[in-house]
This record gives sequence, structure tokens and C-alpha cells, in this order.
Amino acid sequence: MNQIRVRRPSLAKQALSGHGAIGLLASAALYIVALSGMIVVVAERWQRWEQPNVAEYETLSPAAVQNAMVQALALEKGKPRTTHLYLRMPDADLPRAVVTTDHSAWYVDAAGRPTVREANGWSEFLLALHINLTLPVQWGMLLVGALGAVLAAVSVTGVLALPKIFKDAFRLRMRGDPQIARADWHNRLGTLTLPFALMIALTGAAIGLSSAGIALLAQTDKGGDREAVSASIFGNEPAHDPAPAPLANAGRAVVSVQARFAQARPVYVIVHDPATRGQFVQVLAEHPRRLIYGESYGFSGAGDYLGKVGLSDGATGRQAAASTYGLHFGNYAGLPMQLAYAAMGLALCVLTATGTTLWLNKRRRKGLPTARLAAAWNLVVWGTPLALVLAAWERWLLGPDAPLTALFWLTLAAGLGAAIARPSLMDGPLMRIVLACALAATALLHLAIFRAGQWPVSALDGCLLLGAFALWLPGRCGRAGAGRPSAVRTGEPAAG
Amino acid sequence: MTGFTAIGWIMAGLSVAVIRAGWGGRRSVALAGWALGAVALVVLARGGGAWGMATGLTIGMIAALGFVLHAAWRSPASAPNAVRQAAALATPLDWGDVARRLAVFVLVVPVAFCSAQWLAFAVQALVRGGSDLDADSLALALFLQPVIWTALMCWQMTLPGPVRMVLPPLSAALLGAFLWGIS
Repeated sequence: MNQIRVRRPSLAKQALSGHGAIGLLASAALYIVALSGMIVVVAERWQRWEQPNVAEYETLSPAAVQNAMVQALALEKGKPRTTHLYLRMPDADLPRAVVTTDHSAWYVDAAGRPTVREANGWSEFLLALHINLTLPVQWGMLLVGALGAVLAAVSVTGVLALPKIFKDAFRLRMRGDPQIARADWHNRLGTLTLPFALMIALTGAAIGLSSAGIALLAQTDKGGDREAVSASIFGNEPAHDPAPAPLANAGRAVVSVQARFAQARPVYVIVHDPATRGQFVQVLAEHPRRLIYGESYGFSGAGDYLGKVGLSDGATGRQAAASTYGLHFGNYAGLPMQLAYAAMGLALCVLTATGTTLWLNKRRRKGLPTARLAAAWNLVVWGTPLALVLAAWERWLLGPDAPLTALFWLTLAAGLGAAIARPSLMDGPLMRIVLACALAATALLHLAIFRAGQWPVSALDGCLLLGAFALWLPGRCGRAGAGRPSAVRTGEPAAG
Repeated sequence: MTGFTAIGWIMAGLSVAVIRAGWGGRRSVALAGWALGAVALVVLARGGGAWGMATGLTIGMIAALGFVLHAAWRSPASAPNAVRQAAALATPLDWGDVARRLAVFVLVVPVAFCSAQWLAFAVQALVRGGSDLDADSLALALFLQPVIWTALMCWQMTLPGPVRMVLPPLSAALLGAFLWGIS
């Protein structure tokens, strides 16, 4: 009797299967995090776009810093005592200072006088979507951190699955068979942005999952005190003394940083427990040509220098931890680096979108029921950016306090319901054109209504118009080509 | 210093162009491109440390993206393949398959996460010996966890079934216990 020997699948085949399984597990969430991440690379510029026509300036004097703090505290009368006062210094990304308490935030003018309430609900919503998927912060960050590890695993298994992936690294057959084009986009972008994907994924995972490691070490080493564990890297605050005292001299602290550390540029001035005897001033200052997000300089309430944490020149672990944020958010080399991050973030979105679409088409070819899944995926790919645009409109129509998070998820949930009930509604190419129209209308209306004088704000409108054109273009090319298969109507970004 | 970094950036961009020129052609040209890229990273590391290397790598990736977009733009049009579509199948729900997928999820996500956390914790305990928690050991634990978890997930996903997928987290947990024991 002949014995049938079952051969074990090769590593590449197993890796391909694993690549698909891990990718599918988290594809929708990964896509949303990648898309929002691509947008919030320039979060401060979107904040200006959301609230244009606020006075802008490049520098704020130490006297104005102090004045802003005093006036912000005066505005707090009748409210519970604020535990912190933050002043964000103006810079190239956001050339307006913002003073923030536990209860409100105000733009201040160059003299430090609060002028307009900071009303950036939409930009804040985008940040929350990227950082914690709008879930409660700790759990949301854990989930997004886990997605980072998943992305890293998908990237590695992708390379294992296609050993010849590097051989065709510079070949992309955009015209012709859509499935080949999709596979080429997926494989080429995956290869060329591999270092970026791994870096973004692992730094994101380290940031998001840090709370788990800190909780464990707090239990074993610090009697459950998580702040004491974090202080090992980020430094700690002096003991609280709630007795009343005049507000700290934050202006003097800024002068001191400028005098002692000529290269450092203050970006945040923070007064902990303001107007108490235990108050403490922290000046966070950027160091040029470094990956660290900054160095933290500490001052007493009188503005006397107490020392620094050592994020810039302390223990390797401190410098590495402080560099994680800069590396992840891409804010360490100005606008060109941010644009490069946005471009590679877009590549990550295309990678996620094409990956799942390839799997869906494979499933369809096997004769498995796919219509509802494909419609739901079309909703994720095209409906998510559309819901983000709708959220911007809702913010302007309902005001900065509009419940954008609820409206966004409700929009997606309603779309998902429609996709399941009537899959034909979620036609990919049609949704792509709708998104293009929405982007163009938003940019044109924004230009018409706000007539923003600041070119970086108008430049974002230009980017939206460019995005609309890029979305409209494949449809035109497709119309020019004859005999294009109509069964595949997924139309993921720029798939030609 | 700035001039040094600028030279590194130019070399990083050029190295990708040279690699592209040698891709699919003369192997020596591609190797020269890789060598130029390595030299660019050394120059950038000397001029700007980790910051310099990060900027150089980004320039290299953007240059590579530019080349691939150019290839896409110039790709010749071809007739699309006929759509192969099998007749739709109505597949009954296979509870065994559902259970298998659930087991894979449990092993790859929470189980692998916990064993990675344990191994990272044990490594930091070993590295710091009996001394107090400091920035280096904390940072090590925080960075190692996602790296180990990623490695475990990759290992698990190249194994054929849930039973075999137990091995990677089990190995990590046992290694963690050993390191914890000798720390």
C-alpha cells in the first residue's frame, strides 16, 4: 500500500499565511491609526487651519510669559484650583502661545494677554484617534501599542513570506491588471518603507505598552507607585505644600534657561501647583539636531535653577526614552521631515488597504461569499477619511465643543450597517470620488470663509485640493483604459 | 559640522540612485551603492549622532519611494487578465475552525504578550542585579517588551497550528524564569 506523505508547508508559505492572519486581525484599526497618524504629523498646522485668523508671532518675551500665567490664573476665579499652568511657546509650527489650566486654554497675544479661547476640538479629536483610538487613555494606548507590535510582526512576516521581495524592489506594474498592480503596490511600498514601518511600529508599541511594564515594575519595586517608576526616566516633582503663595516667577525661569543653555529653545513652561508654597516651575526646551523631545529644566517658585532631568545628556535609558517620541512623531527636523513622515504614513495606509483588498479578491476567486466583507472594507478605506472630513464640518457647524468622537463612530457604524445591508452602496470607485469632492469642497469653503492670511494655513487647503485631484485621477485613467474588469471594484488608494 | 551632515545627506540620496542603477544589472554597481549608503550613515553618525542617522535613513527611503513612483509612472500598459471567479459557495459554519482561530488569537495576543512582558522583566532584573530601579533598566524593559512580543508573534505565525504555537511563548516564559532565577 502506498503511503501518502504530507509535506510540511515551507517557511515562506507559513509566513504568508501568518502575514495574512495577523494583518486581517487588526487591519481596520491599523488603517485608522495609520491614516490619523499621517494627518497628525502636522497636528499644529491643522490646529491653525481649524482656527485661523488668530494673531501670530514667533517669539514671546519672558515678561509676556509671566503676564500670561498671571492673567490665566485670574481667569480661573470661581473655579476649583488648577493643579498646573502650562504655557506653550510660539514656534514655526504653531506661531501663537497658548496658556492652559485644568479647565480652559487661551491663545495669548505677544504681550501675554489672553485673547481667544483655544478651540481646536477637531485637531484634538484627530490626536486622540491616533494615540488611543478615542478610548479611555490608558486602555486606548495599550490597544494602539498592541497594534504597533502587530504592525511590526506583519512587516517581518511579509518579508519572510516573499523571499524574492527585494529582487523586484524597483518594479511597479501600475497599468494593466488591477490585482497585479495592487500586489505590486503592496510589495514595493512594504519593501521600501520597511525601516520606517518597523521604526514607527516599535516606537509606537514601546510608547503604548509602557504602562503595562511600568505597572509591573511599580508592583515589584515601588509598592504600586507608578509615578515613582516613571520618575526614574522623566524626573519627579518636589513635595506638595498647599499653603498659598504668590505665583511662581516663570519669566525668570525662562530667562535663566536662555542664559545658561544658549542652544536650548523653551517650548513649554509649566507651573506645578501654582500659587502654593510647593509650586515648582519646569521649562521644557528643545535641543536642535537631537531626537529627544527636549530637556526638562527645574526651578523653584522664585525662579531659582534647581537642575535638569538629564534627557539630553543623562543615562542612556533616559536619552533613548526621550528619543522614542521624536522618532515616532517625526518632529525632530522641521517641516521637510514632517512631510517625509506624512508621505511614508500615506504609504502605510496604501499598504494596509491593498493588503486586505488582495486577501478579499483571493477569497472571491475561491468562490467564497465576499460581497459584505468587501463592502465593509470599502467603508473602512474610504469612509474613514470621509468621516474625518465630516467631523471637520460638524466642528464648524456645531462649534468646537461638538461631540466629534461620538459623531465619527456613529457615522462609521451607520456606514457599516449600510455596507452589510446593501453591499452595492459601498462601491469603491464611487466612494473615492465622493471623498475627492468632499476634500475639494472643504478646501474651497475654508478658503472662501476664512480667507486666511497665513500661507501655511492656505497651503493645507492646497494639500486638500491636491489630495482631491489625486483621488479623482485614477478614475480618469481607468476610464481611458478599455476592458477593465468590473468585478474588482474596491479602488484602494492610488491603485490605478 | 553642518557641512559634514549635508555631505552625508547627499551621499544617502546618491547611494539609493546608485543601488537603483545596479538593480537587476551589474551587481558590483548595486554593491557600491550599498557601500556608499553605509559610508553616508557613518558620516551622518559622526556629524549628527542618532539624529544624523535618522535623517539620512529618511532621505534614503524617500529617494527609494521616488524611484518606485517613477517606475510606476513609466510602467507599460497591459491588457488586464480575465477575472477568475469561482462559483459562490455557501460554506456552513465550522465550529472547529472558529475554535482554532480563537485559540490562535489567545496564544498570539494575550499569552504571547504576557510571556514577552515576563521575559523583558526578567532581562531587566538580570541586568540591574540587586540595585535600585534606574533609567537604563526601566528603558530596557520598556523597549524589550514589544521587540520580544513581535518576535514571538512572527515565530508563532510561521507554525502550522495552535498546538505548535504554544512553544514560542512557553520558551520565552521558561527563559524568563531561568533569567529571573539567576538574577
